[in-house]
Amino acid sequence: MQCQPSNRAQPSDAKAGAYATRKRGQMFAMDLIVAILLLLAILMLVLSVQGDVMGREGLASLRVDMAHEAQGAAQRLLYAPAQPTDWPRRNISLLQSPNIISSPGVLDWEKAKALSNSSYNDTREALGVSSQIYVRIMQFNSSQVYLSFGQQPPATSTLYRVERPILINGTVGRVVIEVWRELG
Amino acid sequence: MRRGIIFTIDALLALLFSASFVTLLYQNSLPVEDIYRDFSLYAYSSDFLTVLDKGGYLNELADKDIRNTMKLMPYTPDPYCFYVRVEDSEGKKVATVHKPTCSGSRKNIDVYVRRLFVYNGETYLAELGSWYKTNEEAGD
Repeated sequence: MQCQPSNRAQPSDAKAGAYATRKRGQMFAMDLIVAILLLLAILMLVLSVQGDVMGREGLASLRVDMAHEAQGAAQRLLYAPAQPTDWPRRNISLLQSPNIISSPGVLDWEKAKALSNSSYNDTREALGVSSQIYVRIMQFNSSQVYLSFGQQPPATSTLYRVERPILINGTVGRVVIEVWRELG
Repeated sequence: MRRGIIFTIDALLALLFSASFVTLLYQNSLPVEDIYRDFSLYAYSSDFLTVLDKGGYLNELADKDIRNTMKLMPYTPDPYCFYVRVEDSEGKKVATVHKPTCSGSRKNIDVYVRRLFVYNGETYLAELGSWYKTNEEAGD
């Protein structure tokens, strides 16, 4: 008859066996603690980066939206034909596109003044802007402002600026369009 | 068991470093540039040439008088560089004006806008070349 090895510890080995079990348990616990700490570090890194990435993507997306609006406003003000064509005699709230030019590259003062005298919300709507907008008609070679309308952006805002040269009474000037939003 | 411990720590450390590396790469590759960058330069250039035409500046250049156009150039937006060149109907250069802070090198030009105009019965071609200021030009 063949003798099978027993898994049960012999009474004489009980002390050594108990010591070995404690040692193995202790090592496993250290391993687990280190692993948990490292996993927590990875989790914190991932969460931190995710928050940063989402913040940056949100800001980038906001800037893209503002860029669309600013370029669209410039298109309506400086290039597109006015709709209706008898602008500025028509109430601005009925306008689809209130341009401020008499011909490409030449400012029409009457239209610019009519737009500056209109209500802010009507102007924003007519220019297709859901953000805030500030438009300045300026001298080309200085910061002198001839005419402005809209709301001036605060220093804490994020803004997108479009600048175009334009003829004002025969001299070169510029139109600066700023579309902005207050962050936070 | 000891091998197991070493492997676990090693693997986790490698994962940590890999995650840091990948996230750094991803962060740096996020698109933050202005999507209208090229369009803005084109639109400004086109309008600038229109203003030079309607303001009589191109006629002055056809007369080889560059003074007034030269005065305008420094006041164009800082990141933009320009040159304006006027040729007669035979393709001979009549006048060229560069923005002072730009090198005027034709290698970097992003946008060309051209326009024919008539002055004193002669036909001229005005060409406006524009590009974003390079780092070297910005350091001038």
